Amino acid sequence: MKISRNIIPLKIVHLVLVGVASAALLLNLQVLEAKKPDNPGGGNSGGGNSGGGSPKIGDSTGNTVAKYHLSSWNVSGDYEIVGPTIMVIDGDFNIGNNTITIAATGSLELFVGGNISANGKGAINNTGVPSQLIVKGTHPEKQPSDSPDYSWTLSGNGALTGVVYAPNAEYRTNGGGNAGFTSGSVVALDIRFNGSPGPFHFDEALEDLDLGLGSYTLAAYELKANGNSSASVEGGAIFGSTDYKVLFNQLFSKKNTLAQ
Amino acid sequence: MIHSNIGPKTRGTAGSVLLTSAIFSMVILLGIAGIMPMLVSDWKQTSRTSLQEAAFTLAESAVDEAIWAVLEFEDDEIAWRAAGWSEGSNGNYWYREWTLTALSQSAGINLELDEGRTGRYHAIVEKADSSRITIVAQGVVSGGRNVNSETEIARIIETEFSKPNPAAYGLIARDSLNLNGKPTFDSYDSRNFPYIYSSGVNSGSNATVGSASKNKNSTLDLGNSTIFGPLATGAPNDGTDPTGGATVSGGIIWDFEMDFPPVTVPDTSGWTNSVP
Repeated sequence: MKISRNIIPLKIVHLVLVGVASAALLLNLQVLEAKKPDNPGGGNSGGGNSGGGSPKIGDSTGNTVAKYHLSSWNVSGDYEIVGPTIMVIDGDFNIGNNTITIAATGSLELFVGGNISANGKGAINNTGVPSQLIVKGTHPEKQPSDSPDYSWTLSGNGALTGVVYAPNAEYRTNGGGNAGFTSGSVVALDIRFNGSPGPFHFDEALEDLDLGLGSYTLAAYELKANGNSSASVEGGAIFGSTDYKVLFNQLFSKKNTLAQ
Repeated sequence: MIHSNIGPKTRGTAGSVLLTSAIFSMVILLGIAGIMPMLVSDWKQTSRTSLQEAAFTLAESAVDEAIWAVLEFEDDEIAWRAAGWSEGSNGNYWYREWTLTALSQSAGINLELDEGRTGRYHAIVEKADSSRITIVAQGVVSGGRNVNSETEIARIIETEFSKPNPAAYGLIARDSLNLNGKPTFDSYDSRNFPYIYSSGVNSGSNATVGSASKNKNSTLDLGNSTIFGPLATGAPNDGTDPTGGATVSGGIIWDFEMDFPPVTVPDTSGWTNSVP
């Protein structure tokens, strides 16, 4: 049950950043990120898999959202998503042996009603951060004990960096390739890893992701009483104050209000 | 025939009654004097409790106003400002104040508190760009009959609202989870640079892997996987080890529950029907 592993402290990581990056290239390690994104919605290096002359989708200025409604998409050649993009695909989405890169300015939200597959070196968002790619299955409702009619299949070196939410479909990796991996988060009706599957890396940044699957409901409630006006750890970080009474007096200063 | 000796006897009785009354009155006065501080204290406490309850009600009103604004304006900063909200100094939140006096004038009806008290309430709202937001509200009541107008009583409420976020765990199956081969599961934080596979740099042990099914025997097959994080199962703890041949670093989460909300497809009217 116990696992011990050497974790290099962050400070050391920052100190040896350049060296590590170089070493990573030399040793052919897989570097998931080459640049910390400026915001939660975007950010990859664009390096290593630039797409070259690949067709570009989206508005790189971010001023407009590119919207596509396709009956199916059998990807032919590599693509680059350079702006915010939403796609509704009623049927199958076959990435094949192609690569769909999401640039630092891009994001892709997919609604897929059929099967999704990638094989060979087929990959989607393989150099970005998972929050840039959200895939939602729109398959018919199934009971947990039902067999899924649809699947997402990564074969060979097929790679995915993103969020998969397909509660009525199967998620399957067939492994076989050294470069195959899944990074992000996956929720599916059934999940199957076969052969020699690549690693799975959960992105902790997704804990605050808004998937648009419902509205806000009350999750926590605390009445500050008996002179206690201290902020929670989260509240203190958000509002920049450890004491709400002080903050309220600063924002709405009139009198020395008693927090009773 | 009236005997003259009746008069002095009557006066003596009357004096006795007067004396008894005086003593009785004294006892009552002393009693009242004795309990007066307690009555005053009770009155003050009642008055204070009333103020606190009013402040609490106002704070709850502020929470209601804030969550309404979150649902209505979302991340539309222009709409927030137009509605009277101001941006916090660090850019992370909105804040706003309401007074009952202004609300009364606006609504054309008297919304003021009883006994000459004045009320106002405040809210600070985390900007709605994630599945979790924090809202802090304050209700303030001041003045009132026989109360110094400078005296204020406040109540503060800290709340958190969240949206369903199935992506917050890792790898979760509604039903069967079947892991053949030797897959490895770990975590990282894409906000931290850099993450390098297999080298431990910035890698974590918070990948939750599991199934929400309550029948772990037929749905959970972990093979020889390695999980840097907890194993989750919807099944109750029956004393058996569900890990099988897997190595799990984060313990077992029994009775794991998770919502699987349906996906709503957007209206695609006018959308492009072919890619470049």
